[in-house]
Amino acid sequence: MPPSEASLAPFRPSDTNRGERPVVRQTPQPQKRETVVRVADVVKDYDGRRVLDGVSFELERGRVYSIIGPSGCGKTTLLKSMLGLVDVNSGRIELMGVDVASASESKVDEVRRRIGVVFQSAALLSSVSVFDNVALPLRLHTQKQEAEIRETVEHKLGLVGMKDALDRKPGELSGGMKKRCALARAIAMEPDLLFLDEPTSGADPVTAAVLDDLVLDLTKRIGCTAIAVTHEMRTAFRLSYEILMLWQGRIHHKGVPSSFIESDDRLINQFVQGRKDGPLSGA
Amino acid sequence: MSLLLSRPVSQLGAVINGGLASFGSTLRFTGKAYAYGFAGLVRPRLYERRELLRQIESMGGRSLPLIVFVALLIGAGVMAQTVPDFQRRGVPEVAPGVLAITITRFIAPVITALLFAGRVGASLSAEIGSMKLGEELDALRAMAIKPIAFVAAPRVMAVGFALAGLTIVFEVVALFGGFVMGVVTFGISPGMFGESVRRFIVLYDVLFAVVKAFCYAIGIAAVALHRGFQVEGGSAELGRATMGAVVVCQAVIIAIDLACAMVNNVLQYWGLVPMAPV
Repeated sequence: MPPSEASLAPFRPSDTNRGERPVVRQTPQPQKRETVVRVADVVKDYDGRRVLDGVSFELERGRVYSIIGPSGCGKTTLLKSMLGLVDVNSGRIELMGVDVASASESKVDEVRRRIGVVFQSAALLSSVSVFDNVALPLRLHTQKQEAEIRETVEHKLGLVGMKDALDRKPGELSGGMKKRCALARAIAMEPDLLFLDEPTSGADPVTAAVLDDLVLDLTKRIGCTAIAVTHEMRTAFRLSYEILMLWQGRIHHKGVPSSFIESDDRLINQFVQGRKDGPLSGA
Repeated sequence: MSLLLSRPVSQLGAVINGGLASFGSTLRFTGKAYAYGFAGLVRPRLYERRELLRQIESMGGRSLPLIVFVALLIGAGVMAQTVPDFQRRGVPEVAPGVLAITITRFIAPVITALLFAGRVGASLSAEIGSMKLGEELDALRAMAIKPIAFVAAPRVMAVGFALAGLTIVFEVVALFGGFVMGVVTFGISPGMFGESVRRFIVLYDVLFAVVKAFCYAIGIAAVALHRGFQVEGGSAELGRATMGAVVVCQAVIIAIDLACAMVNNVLQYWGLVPMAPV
């Protein structure tokens, strides 16, 4: 079960990485439990270095999850592996019943059409306007007419508060605005799965909170499963039904946010509380 | 002795192996890009057709002023350096014809392609490389959009159309430059100029220049786009890829020109191509 506010009582305000008490939000409880993501024994080596070393977990439909871990621990590699953008050495990655690690490119593309992704750098196409960026999947993957596409794009940009930026190029936008436009593009096709790579990195605390709320509202609204890769503990606590901590290529701990706060594990404590001394820094 | 030789031999082998692998990868990439490019002309959802038009306009427009300027100077320059010799030999009427032959068969296609490679080839590599480093290509793949179809295909097609168009512009402008130089400086009459050009070239020469332009376009697109797609790392690697693309494009253009000239000579020998009457 997700944590209640009361369960976080022992947490001290000074314990978060921003010196504030985390706000743990809850997503609606789906009636029926259904596994939409199943990762089993995934191994990935880069230049002889093992980045993912037998990662396994399962995620349920309609929940919001966060994958946390120190920089360079393989979070983005794991996310890109789940999208089929990075080939893994071994293991299974099932998204909505399709093993993207072994399926054909066309089969993987079918799955990708049901996925929305917000990349760390937003990854908006710099040569075209915000409107064209959000309209892109609709133009190429649906039979919608241009008027209908415009209506959808305006609606999605409205949801993220970027309707005024329709005709602007990504280069004219701030980092937070780009992330919001990328979020609009990610939800343009009403995805079943939403991947967010560092959704609040580079954003000021207010913008980060706005982005967190946006993700929560959108996942509620379209009922999708969201997976956020982040090292921002406040974002993880705000968004998540469950948090997965990645360390040395494995899932070190998976549990509700309160289990991280209440944990006696030195590694988890150091990361959650942002202390410089501890097992993460070799001390 | 064998130990002494084994190291350089193995290094040479590695270099050849790497070169062949790179060549094979470029060929596969180019084949796919053109396959998607032609398929996209009939299947609108592979890439946006207006992107193709935008690329043609951008590549052509970006290079047009330079092409016009250089063509004008080269046309005038060739006339200025050939007419005095022909006048001395008593055949000044041959000069415009020689100008027309050299411009249409060699200078226009090659110089246009070299200028185009320097300008557009470099920017293509840089653009695609930036897209790769900025995760834009990954974002496309994540949206089930093939980067080769969506990004490379319209560009390889645009390179061909833009370069062919610019080659024709070069030919016309260079002949105009030669005409002005001949008429104003050397007193060649406009009628004599036109007659000489008509006697030396036929429509085939112009068409062959266009065919050569498409061949160079394949080389430029293959090298520049493939290098862009291969960029890994950061801005330093991007700079190296861009510079490398221009240098390799220029070498490829010269090699393709020689190959085209040989093919043309063989066709002429077999009497398969029309030639201007002697």
